Amino acid sequence: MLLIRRLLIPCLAILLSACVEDLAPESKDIRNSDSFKIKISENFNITTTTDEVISLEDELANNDAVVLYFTMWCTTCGGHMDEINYKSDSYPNIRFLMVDFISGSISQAKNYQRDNGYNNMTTLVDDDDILQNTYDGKMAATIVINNQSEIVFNEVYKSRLYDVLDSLNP
Amino acid sequence: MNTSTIFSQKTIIVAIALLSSSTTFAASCCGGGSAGSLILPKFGKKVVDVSFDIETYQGKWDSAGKYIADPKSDNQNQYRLNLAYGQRLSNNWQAGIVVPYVWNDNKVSGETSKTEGIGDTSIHFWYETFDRVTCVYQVNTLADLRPAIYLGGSLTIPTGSSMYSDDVDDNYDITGRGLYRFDTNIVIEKTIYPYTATLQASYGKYLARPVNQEYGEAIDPYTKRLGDRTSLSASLAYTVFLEDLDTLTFTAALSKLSEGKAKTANHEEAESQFEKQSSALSMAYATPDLRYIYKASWSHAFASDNRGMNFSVTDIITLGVSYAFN
Repeated sequence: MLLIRRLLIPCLAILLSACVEDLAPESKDIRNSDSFKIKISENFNITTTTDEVISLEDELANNDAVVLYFTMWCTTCGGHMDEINYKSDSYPNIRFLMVDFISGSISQAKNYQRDNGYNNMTTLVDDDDILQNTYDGKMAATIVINNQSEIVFNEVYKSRLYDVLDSLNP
Repeated sequence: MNTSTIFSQKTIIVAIALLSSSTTFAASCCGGGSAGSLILPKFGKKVVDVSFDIETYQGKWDSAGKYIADPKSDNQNQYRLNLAYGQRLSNNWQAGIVVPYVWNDNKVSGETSKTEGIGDTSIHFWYETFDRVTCVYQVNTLADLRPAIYLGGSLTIPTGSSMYSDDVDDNYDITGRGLYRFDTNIVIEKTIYPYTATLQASYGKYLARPVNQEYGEAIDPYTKRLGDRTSLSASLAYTVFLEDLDTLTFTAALSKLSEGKAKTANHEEAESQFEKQSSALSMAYATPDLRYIYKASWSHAFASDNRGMNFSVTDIITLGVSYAFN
């Protein structure tokens, strides 16, 4: 009994201080009614690491959708970007744009892009936090905007992104 | 770029802590000090172990296994205080608990961040397949070659805060992976003084969990399960007996850690699998009565191509002390 008590007390203390969502996760849909409303993306004009200015309106005029991926050039982001790079060939009518939201300058973003080997991926430099504030961008956030300017996906990168893209690109 | 954004860079280093259990403990059925899991020596009844990890990010391996160094201007560190307690339950059974507390200290692109919190807790049980200490000074019979074999199970409990918690606004709050994991473990150890050879292996499975939010944002719910985890380690130790029968043990180890593809809903997440190869050197001083063991270790991930995949390359320095009592 003494042993159980000794082990139980610290265990309870840890569990009580821990996060309930992780200890007892729920599958309940907790989105509110606003979450189901279709959001329309405003236009943006953002400079890339190659000093080109990308306009959302222009991209949507020429593609079925635009995908924004928020990268920090970290290990996790690298894995996602490798997969995006590989899979993007299957979606010729969808524009994939990486978003560097941590570097704070075009020169620093260029360095990260080059050092990590992603020079072939068009990268927007969000040095004024425009995209981050507009889409609530965090690490690995992936946003899909269709050619009606509707935001149809905004989640951390995962494979169901491609279900969404398939539905846009039948 | 706002402050919270740059802070989220620490996810890199947080992930390291969550993935690489580097805690150095007293081990050996003979009671000497070497690296490994928290295992009581055969004659030990209880042990308290405190260790402190200093982990420094050096770069990463990409998904093709290419090593990419961290920019020199960046400085990412994580510190962990690991509190552990082990208890003998019977002659051949023992149990223990490890609770880490995590500090993140990062400087990325000129911005600094410091956060802290409890990490994921682990509880473990060990069964000793031998009744007597198997360490020998010389081999006289075949029976002297018998190794000490431990069979164990461990449960990782997501007591840290993960990206799926509602109290996490950004990545800098993360201190856990958010999923339960059960590991089966085996340790095979043989000491013929002054040498000790040890093999450790573990295989872990995560339990699937529902996810209905990411970074505090409600999303379309899905089920997530991380990939199976395999860990292998081989080590060789040399023990020096000092004047008062206190000992100094030097250990060299090679390790490989890998995790398979995660699953979200019905999809495999190909980019989620990873691999890490590392080496470690450790030194442990044990008092003659084996009550106190002081330990220091240096774990080094191989910073070169094809020594890992999709994973952070880090060095870990660990300092620790354990106290055994009845």
